[in-house]
Amino acid sequence: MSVNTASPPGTTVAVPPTGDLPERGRRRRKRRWAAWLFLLPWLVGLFGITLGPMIASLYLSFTDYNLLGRLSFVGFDNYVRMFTDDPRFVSACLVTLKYVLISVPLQLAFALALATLLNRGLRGLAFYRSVYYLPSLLGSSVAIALLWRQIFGGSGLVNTALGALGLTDLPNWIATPEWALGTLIVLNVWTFGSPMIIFLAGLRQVPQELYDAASVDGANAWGRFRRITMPMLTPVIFFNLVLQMINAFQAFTQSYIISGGSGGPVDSTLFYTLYLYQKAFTDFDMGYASAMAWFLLVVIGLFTGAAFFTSRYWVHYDGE
Amino acid sequence: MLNPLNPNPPLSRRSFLGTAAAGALLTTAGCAGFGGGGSGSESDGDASLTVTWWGDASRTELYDAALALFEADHEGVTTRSEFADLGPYLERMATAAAAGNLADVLWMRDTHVGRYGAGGSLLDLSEYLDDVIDVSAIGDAGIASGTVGDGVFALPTHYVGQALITAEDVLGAAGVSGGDIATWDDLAAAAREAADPSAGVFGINDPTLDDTHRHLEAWIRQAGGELFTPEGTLAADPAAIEEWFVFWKTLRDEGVLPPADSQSEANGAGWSGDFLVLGTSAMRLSSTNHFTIVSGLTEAPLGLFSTPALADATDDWWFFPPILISAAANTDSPEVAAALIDFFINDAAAADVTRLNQGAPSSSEIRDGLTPDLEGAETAFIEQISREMEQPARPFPIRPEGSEQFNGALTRIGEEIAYGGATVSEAVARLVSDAAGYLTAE
Repeated sequence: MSVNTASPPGTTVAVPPTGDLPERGRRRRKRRWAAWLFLLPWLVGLFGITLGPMIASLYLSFTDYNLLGRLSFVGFDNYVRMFTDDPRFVSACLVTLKYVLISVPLQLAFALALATLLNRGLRGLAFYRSVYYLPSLLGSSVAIALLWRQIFGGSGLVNTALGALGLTDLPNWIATPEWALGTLIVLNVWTFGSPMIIFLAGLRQVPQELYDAASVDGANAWGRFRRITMPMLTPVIFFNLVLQMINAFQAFTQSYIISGGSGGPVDSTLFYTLYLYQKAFTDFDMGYASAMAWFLLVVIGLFTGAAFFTSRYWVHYDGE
Repeated sequence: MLNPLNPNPPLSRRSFLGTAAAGALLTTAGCAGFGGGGSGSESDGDASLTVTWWGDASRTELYDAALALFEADHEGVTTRSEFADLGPYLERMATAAAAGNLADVLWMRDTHVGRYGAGGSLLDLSEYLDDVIDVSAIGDAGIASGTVGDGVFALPTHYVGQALITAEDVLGAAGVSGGDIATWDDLAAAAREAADPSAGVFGINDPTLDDTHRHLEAWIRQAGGELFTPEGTLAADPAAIEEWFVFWKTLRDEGVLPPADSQSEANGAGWSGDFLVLGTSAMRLSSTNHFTIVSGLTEAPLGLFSTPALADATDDWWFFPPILISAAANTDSPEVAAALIDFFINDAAAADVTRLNQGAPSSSEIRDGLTPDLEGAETAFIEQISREMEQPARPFPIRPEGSEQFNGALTRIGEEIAYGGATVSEAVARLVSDAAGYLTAE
């Protein structure tokens, strides 16, 4: 096999005077160093903070490691233990799955509804957009989680308002196992700002002539939404779905703050990541926690893969 | 190698690598976050120490003031303090220890000293005892509380006890006095008297939904048992654990305790949301040193009494969990760290500043020296714990590895029982069988 090192046909290679070569090479080398220097922070981050720990955690997932010294190779024991001998792992999976399956579609529906409303050429649109985006910035903060505890507490704002409407025997939303996860779902839905902004941008891209043509043909508002807006928006819906799904699988702060780190009451808000955290830093079972982290990665990968696989049936790209 | 054609290159390989190394170092330092010990140097008697404790800003104010006294006495020594709430403190301590980056001097939980001592993260203080650290006033029991294997990895600066705190006006309205409560049966009777569910008044806070292992431990030791074996496995008789939960479940079913959801919410709200502070509960079980905290939050008259005992309790059940101080194995200044530990245990001027913030000082001399200056709640606290410490107390074993997991599981089954998710016997059976998995003899 020969390697063709000749220039492509039609190109001429300018041969510089021999005296210029070292100077030019030096300059190129200098430029290359400069490029590496600028890339350095990112490279350090990638290898030192992301890839390095990832590889380490993959190794640790096959060990019994107590964080302070003991480290022994145990093969697939941690992975086997997850499914055969850890009811809290199963309950954390179920809680997280419920959270993802309920909160993500609700949040997207809410974001799309508001984006559609805001897209009607409102006056002061920029103001509303900012106001509705605010919860996205605040939603995962500790302060909001604390506030949530006040709002949904036994004598909190929600119960006071419902009491004023004449309702009695109201539950303590955050401290009742049946309702606690619901309040976290509401909190997540409330942070609809970032998908809403993306939906708004998507709505702006839908050609007006499609609506005009549909109107001429007698389509009503619902028909236009269903037959034009929705299909045209499917790439944006798909993007938001994948993004929010990955976020929801990794939810942590809200439960950590509202349940005081326990995932209670009775493990009803024990998110997967919170349980992983407890195993690592409360129980010092770092090997097991690492295995959990890798299992989560696989699950998120599978869900994302499934979203991509089904996308060919429901996502319509322009021009297809 | 320098390029002879360009003696001053804008970026040589050497400077590039230097910059890269510095960048990497900065990143590592950035990752270190908490702790940051081992940075001290001891050349020419100079040392810089990082000191960490758990607690709030007011505790930090006191301990920073004490550290300033230490610096004034030790020329060339500088200190830097860090603090966090207990939960995050313990979590950060774990990561710092894993990175070999523990603070030079750190406060240690008795629940964790076994793990950290055995794990090689802590400095063995044995060789500094007597020479640098005066242990004459803390006694053999004090040294034993930080002894793991053959090494002394921590020493107690303070002790806390278990107590019953009463809202005397709420109890008084029911015709009961805290001083009459000696047994658990007395406690249950008083709680029943004081509870008035229709008025939203509870007889006693429900301890089983919070960190309750100390109370259970009192119950078990009173019955003649121990929570853990010296080998580190579960020693408690499951029947005794069941009796403990049945005791509280009975009161809960009668409406004497707050409903589970209200109690959970109150626990999450901190001291300001405590039913005793709000005047809607007559009693609570607590650490003795919490008395000074609760007293500062309410105008209502409070009483401080010993934890109730079983009617036929052993007389040597008493135990006083130590608040421990350790030095990191990775410290560059072990001598100075040991001197600082001595300072926090034995220095009267430091004790004048920190007083009873963490509990009763472990040194009998310091305790006696402080007592005349105390007033109000502080006096009640020190008198109570001093009186109790004169009681016979059989050894209080070092907490084994896995004890933190057991404490968490205890709270969890407390919740399950309170919310009706499991019967007492189901929950306790699971607690015991799970514990066999993580409380294993080394």
